[in-house]
Amino acid sequence: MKNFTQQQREELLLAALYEELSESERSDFEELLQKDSDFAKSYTDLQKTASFMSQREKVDPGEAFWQGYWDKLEPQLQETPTATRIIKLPNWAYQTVAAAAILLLGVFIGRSFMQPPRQVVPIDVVQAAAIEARTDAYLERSKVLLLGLVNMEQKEDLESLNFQRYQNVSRKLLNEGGHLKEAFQQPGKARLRQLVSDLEIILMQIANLDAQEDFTAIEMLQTGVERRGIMLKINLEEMQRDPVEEKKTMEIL
Amino acid sequence: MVESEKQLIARVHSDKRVFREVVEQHKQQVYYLALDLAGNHADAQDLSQEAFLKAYKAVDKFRGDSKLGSWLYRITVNCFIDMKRKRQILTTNLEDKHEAEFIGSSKSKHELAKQERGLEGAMLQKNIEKALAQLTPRERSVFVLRHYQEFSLKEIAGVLSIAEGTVKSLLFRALQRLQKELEYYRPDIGLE
Repeated sequence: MKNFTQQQREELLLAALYEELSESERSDFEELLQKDSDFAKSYTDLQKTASFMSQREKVDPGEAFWQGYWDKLEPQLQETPTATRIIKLPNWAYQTVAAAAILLLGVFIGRSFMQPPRQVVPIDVVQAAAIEARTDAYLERSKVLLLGLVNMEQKEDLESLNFQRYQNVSRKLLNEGGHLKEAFQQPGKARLRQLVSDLEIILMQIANLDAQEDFTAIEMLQTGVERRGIMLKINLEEMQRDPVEEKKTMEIL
Repeated sequence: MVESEKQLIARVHSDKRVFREVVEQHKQQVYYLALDLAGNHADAQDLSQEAFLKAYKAVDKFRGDSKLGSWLYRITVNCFIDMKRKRQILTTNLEDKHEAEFIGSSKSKHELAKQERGLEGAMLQKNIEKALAQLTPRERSVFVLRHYQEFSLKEIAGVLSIAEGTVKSLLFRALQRLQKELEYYRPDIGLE
């Protein structure tokens, strides 16, 4: 007798029970039925169980039920949304969308996490920038002030000016120059420091001058400015601080 | 035939009378399958109506490569499995639940038949339902389709979209479980 696995036995039992045995299965089944008493008993039990279960009766719910079936169903149909038809896109469309999504994600990650940390400007750099700006303003105002003085030619010019205002500006510039000199202590600022010192002398003279009485004092100031070459020094300093201005000056020269 | 069903189904949403026609054609099959699965009238009614609602909702998915009846059967079985998963269906209480809901003359006919059958017959039905209630939803679906709907094993595999081997395995397990459940009645049914 052939050896049958449990699964093969079960399949043979079922096929026999439901009369679905093929020719080869039938011979196997009959052989097992004759030679294996356990198999035969299993088959008999299955037959009896199936037979018992087939006594189940179906109860007709009645004509009224069948007639009212649609009437009960129809109101529910109106409440039932129909399924949305799914539009099938070609594969390349999904691939393109996926690629774009990955690209956007990469850009987002790059921007969010991989950007070099924003440079934190040290406080002394900020202070240095502020000093530079104040120096520019100081030089510009000093230059304007001195130009006004240098260009005076006679006592009438002096009378037409508000010399008091010149003196006030001089005092403010003296004050500012004192602060700036402290900032110009580091190497490379020696020339500026010297310029501020020269300007201090001139500005102090302006601040203390009684020019209303004597135009000679103005002439002495003009000589002092010229002798010390202060206007030239201011111009040179400004040129060095502003490359654009330097280029313009060189073109003129 | 299959093609004409597909054409019929294609008009369901534009013309509700078409769906009514489908329901009228298949309501008995679907209801009796639901009754075999659920075991009582009330659940069978809910189950069959839910199956038709799902079919209406998903009518676009009917590809026409199987018969409409088979498609409805599959939906009904799936609804039953879902229903069992969601709640415990009281499948054992055939008499208590469904007779009370029968209407009009059918109720009295049924009761009359029951009286004629006598207590013994009623007990038999109750025991069969009790035994069926012990099966898992999948085992019961396979058993019911084979025994009460008379589907072949291959057809069951097609309806449930499972392999024929799985059908055999589920069916054998179902029969064994029923046999065990009916042990108390072995002498009555000839099982010694």
